[in-house]
Amino acid sequence: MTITAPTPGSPPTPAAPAPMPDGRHSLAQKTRRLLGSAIPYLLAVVAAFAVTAVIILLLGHDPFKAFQAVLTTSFKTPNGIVETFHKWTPITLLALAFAIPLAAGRFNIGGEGQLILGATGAVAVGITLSDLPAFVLLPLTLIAGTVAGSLWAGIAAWLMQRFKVNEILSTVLLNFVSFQLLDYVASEVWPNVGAGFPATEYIGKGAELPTIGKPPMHYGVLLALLVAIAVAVWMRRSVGGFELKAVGSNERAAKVHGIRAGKVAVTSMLVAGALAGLAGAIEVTGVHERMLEGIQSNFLLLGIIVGLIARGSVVAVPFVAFGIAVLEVGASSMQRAAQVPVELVLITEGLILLFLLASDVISGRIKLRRKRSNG
Amino acid sequence: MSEPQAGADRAPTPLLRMTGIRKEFGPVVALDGVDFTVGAREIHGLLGGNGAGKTTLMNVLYGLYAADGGTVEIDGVPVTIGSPRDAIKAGVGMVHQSFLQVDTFTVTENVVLGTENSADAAAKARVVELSQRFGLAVDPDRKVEDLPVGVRQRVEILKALYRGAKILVLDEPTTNLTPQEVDALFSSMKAIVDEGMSVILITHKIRETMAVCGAMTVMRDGRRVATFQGGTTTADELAASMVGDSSSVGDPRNSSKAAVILGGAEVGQTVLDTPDVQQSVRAVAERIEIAGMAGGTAAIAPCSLAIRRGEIVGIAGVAGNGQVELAEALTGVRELVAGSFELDGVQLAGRPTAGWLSAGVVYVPEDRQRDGILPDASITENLMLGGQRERARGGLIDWARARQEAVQAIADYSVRTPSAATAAGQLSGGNIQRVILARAFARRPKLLVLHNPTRGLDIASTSFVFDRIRAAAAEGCAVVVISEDLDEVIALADRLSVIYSGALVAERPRGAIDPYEVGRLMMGVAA
Repeated sequence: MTITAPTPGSPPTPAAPAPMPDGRHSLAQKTRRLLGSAIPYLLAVVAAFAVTAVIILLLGHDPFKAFQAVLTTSFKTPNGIVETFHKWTPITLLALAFAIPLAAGRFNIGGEGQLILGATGAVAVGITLSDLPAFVLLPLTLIAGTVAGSLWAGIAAWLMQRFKVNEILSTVLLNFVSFQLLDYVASEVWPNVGAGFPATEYIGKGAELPTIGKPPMHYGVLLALLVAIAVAVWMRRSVGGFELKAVGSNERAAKVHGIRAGKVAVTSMLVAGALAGLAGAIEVTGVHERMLEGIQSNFLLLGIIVGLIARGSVVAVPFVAFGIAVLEVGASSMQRAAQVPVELVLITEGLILLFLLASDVISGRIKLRRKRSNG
Repeated sequence: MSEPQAGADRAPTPLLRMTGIRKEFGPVVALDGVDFTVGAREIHGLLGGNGAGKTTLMNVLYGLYAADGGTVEIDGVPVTIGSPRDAIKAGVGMVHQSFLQVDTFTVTENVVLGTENSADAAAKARVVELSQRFGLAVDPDRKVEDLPVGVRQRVEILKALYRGAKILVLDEPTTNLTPQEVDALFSSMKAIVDEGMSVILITHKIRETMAVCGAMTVMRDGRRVATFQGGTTTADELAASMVGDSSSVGDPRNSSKAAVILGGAEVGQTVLDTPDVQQSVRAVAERIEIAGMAGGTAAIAPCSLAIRRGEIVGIAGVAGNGQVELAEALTGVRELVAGSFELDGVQLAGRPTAGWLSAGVVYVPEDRQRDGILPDASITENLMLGGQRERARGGLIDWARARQEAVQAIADYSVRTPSAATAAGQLSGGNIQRVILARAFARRPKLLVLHNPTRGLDIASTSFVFDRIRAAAAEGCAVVVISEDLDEVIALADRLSVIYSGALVAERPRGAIDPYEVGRLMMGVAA
């Protein structure tokens, strides 16, 4: 395994101004440090765009036109803004679903399966109980999705804890099972025959998320924001968050000091599944009003990219997710404006991550050289 | 004109001459213009605490560090040593404290590893020849993973001799050996010297240095303090020059205290303050049975142990005789197969580790990196580890207060670190141990189990840890010190047990401890 659970904050270098004895920094020091750690990010983004530009040129298109479309679509129209937030919601939740087990040294690659199960749970309640009033039905629908996602992740967690089955393997394989399940539910259980592709019936009106403004933005965005804040506080301040980090940092030492590492790891997977399940339920109740084939989109991949770019920091996840959501929303208008295929955006996102990892290697080398020349 | 010749007549060219060696680590001057000379056929003791720079000096000689200044001459010829390869070519061999061996290889395979030779019959014959010539008994066909520490050390020495070392550097070779093994090592060293080579013995133990060394160099704070020829100094004088407090030279109390810590004085002569011991029994482990790592076979024969308040029980033994298993069983890290464990009348057997912790059992593990710290968490977070549930209010941890306490702990235990936010994994071994000890003592333990607590610490820190352990005992804490360093156990223990092959084989009260008898017990020879 080459990916390690990242640590927030970089170790102080000898050249840095001396921090206060408890390790906290003055505002000026903090700003300088923030700027210092932002440099590799900036360079990685610039380098990724530069390489993408070369590819676009080679394809015979105009890179500036393409970039203009990608970067401005989200902000040009109210529609763009809403669409960006709608994309941001599942990306953030899936990135958290990846980052939380990562903090305990576990890899949840099953976000899309958990999302699909969340969607399944949501439509099950939203369709079968469609006559209930909204103030009962909507919470029930969201809870059903959250619980279903958590249970799905629980299968992998149980296999991991009971039989030591590698959780990467089990979560990935459970994704494939979930695709079949989606197909079955959408074509056999509650099929919408007129849709022409596998999709369920619509959920009851009472299960739909209320919206705000025009064009309408669903309240799932706000819910995801609250969840992201709660997760950040929990990770940084709570006993549970500390134990999670302890297990990720050194499982053996955590056990020696009374932390039940297995329980902590299982809990992290269950929480992750719940978040991915919530994302599925929000997609159903806020965006599609039903479940359909491909509802998982490429949110799993984007979530992992966001989680890794944020280096596992749950505080950074929502911000990185916003940047990625902007690129995703811009992708289709780029295709229209510059005839560049949408897939190129995914290449750019991958390149950002790649260059960021490369910058780790390079800065590691620089530090090593400095250390060597110092002694 | 005749001067150089006259000089050569009086003092023959030394085998090794290091002149003005300087080494800086960032702002820290580790070696400040050190001159160091070793004659031919000489066992030269290099003494000093861990911060003194003796290991650094030898790492420069062995090419592990590039010096910032100074010259090295071997046999009067200036040499440039940029890597261990150069050092080996120049005839320098070094045996480190931690061995670099491939566990699954045989002795012969390990010896030839890294040379151009293969582990064939000729290589094996050479290993046998060397081991017989120098009294380094090993079986060339055994896998090193099956060998005890003392024998693995012989393999390391054979490695250096096989590569044609003229100068053999041994870094703290006696720490984990029984007195008998130490004697065997010293006679091998004498055999090596008789063949025309020289040995440099890095150590902080005065007694053994005086017994074996023809010359002794004392280092302190990166400087050479003094060089004594054999028989021209006393243990107290050496101890005083190592500790560096010139005022203490005349004060027998101070220097003999240092000498005790350094293993220079005989135990029987030492009078230590006995704490006001309350006699009620605190921890009772009755016929406990402990399973090994694999869970199947018993690692420890059924054993019983009762420890009173304020008592320090020492457990001596050669590494790998069940110390880790015993320590983990006494601290609830490892489940007991059978038996009972009571602390102040409370039954702890069967409870999870956290239950033992909250009952007042504190463990200072041997393997600091693996069992003791969260490497990429801050010092503050590491000090919190284990206490997070007791310290939290409503599930939330007050990190602002924890940071303040961490700053205080760093000052109290003189942890050398840029700040409390520094990741524990970036600290040196000694500083990691200070963090672990700060955490352990802050919990005000009822039962404190320490395994090799001062390994790798310098003299001042060792003395500091000893004081802390005695202070904890004086406050009524029951202490178990498990150590492979016999001198450490003897210095601390009110009562000493020996662990051999998973069984506690003997018990001796303070004052009735004969190191050689203990050594025999440690090797399983009935006393």
